[in-house]
Amino acid sequence: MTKWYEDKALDSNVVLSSRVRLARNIKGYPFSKRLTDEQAKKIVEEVKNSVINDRTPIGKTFQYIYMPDLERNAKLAMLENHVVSPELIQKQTPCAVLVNDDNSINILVNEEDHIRIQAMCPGYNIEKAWEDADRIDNLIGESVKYAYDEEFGFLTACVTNVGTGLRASFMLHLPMLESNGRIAELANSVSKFGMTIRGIYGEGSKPLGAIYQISNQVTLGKSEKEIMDLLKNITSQIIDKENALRELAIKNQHTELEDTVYRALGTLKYCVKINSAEAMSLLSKVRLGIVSGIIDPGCCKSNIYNVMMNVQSGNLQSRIGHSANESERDIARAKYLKEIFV
Amino acid sequence: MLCDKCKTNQATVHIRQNINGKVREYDLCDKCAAASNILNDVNMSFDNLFEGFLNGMGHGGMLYGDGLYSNKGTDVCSICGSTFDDFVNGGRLGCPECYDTFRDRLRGVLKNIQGGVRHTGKGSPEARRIKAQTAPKELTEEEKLKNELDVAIKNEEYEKAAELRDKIRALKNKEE
Ligand SMILES: [Zn+2]
Ligand SMILES: [Zn+2]
Repeated sequence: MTKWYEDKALDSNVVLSSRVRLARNIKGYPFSKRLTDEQAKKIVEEVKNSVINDRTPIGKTFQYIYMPDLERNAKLAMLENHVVSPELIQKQTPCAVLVNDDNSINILVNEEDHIRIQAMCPGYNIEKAWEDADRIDNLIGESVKYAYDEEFGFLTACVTNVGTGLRASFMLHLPMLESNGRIAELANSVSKFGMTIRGIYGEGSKPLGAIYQISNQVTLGKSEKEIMDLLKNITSQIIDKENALRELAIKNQHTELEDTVYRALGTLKYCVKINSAEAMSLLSKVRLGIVSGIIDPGCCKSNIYNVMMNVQSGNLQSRIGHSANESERDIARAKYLKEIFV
Repeated sequence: MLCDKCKTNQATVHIRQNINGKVREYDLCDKCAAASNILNDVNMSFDNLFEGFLNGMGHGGMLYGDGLYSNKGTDVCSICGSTFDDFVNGGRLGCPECYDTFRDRLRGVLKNIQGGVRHTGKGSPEARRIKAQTAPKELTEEEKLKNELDVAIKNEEYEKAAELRDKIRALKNKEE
């Protein structure tokens, strides 16, 4: 089955994808950090059975993966595809992930919280992501007793998630705001609205390929709808700014822009070895060329965002089927890029 | 104590910064803390600073509000055995029951980092179930007509009542 992130629609706009995450915990157990292995295993079973069972047709679309069974590169690839979090792949204790057939919905068990439901979809469509997550939340809630408090809402290990347990986010491609040095200012102003902007792989990660994630910080005192409306409102203003800068460049610096994006495409097509940071930066320029109408989207067999995930080390090593050192990876990366750009 | 910056509002936030060994301390009100450049020049937003502290990585900056310092008790969560100090130092609560044990002090913490203190979003599965059960269920066409008929008879609108009776009869015949 085609994965959600292989959709060509991911190249159409500033917003690459929408994501909703719900944090839930089970009543009667301590939070994940204090679980015994036995308790952790029980939780894994309980959550697995609440989703995959004979009563629910949706359960048939889910695959169950017990994390300690996976080898390192497979874990890394799941991280790069935004299926699992860095926290989950480092865990030694019983933890698992349930993932549906197009990878758009996944359920992490025994990460920071007992249950984290994530739903993702291409483009600017937080409503769809919310519907998916909400449906799974209701399904699990039918058989699992959530830790819930009338005053504080859904109880979470960290007080920064309590209440709705909701983290709603958009993945944005902001090459023009970045090249104009406007990101710091942007981060500062969105923080005033209880929002945050960070790099592609979440907290503490470096911005790569001008990809940024904007999400809500506040989870308590606002309803899910209010949180998502505010996020949409702020994001649409960011989109307008990015587009305005792009229009300006197309109008006033067309030749320079053309030169930049075609040089990037040329390097990606003809390089023999390339590291991940350079590849990301060039891919960002090519994507800018595509969304600006300078380069034909047909130049790439996939969408650029998917290529960005595929040039990461874990995905690359899964593709070649074995671990490789840095130099071997750089060669494999160039080889993959040669195949994907026509 | 008044806010160090605006000198008008009550200070609710204490900030202690240690930048390359140089310690600076401030007492600020919510507004000034959120808008403060002191926070920006270490390239951290208000939220990030607090999150950093809560994650136990707060050696760069430290921030706490009323709730954390007033009434600093030694209560222990009877379920998981963690103390409020564990939370302050480690940033995580031990178990869901901790929220109940430390309810008062958590209100102060939540006010500082979340703004809101009361959940207004989606209810628990139990609450939703009860709501679904007590919600008036959709009436059938026949039930609606019967209700109208009762009203008509009560109001002595016999012509209307006869009409309604015919309708109900027709509906019944159709079903059979
Ligand atoms: Zn002030
Ligand atoms: Zn506890």
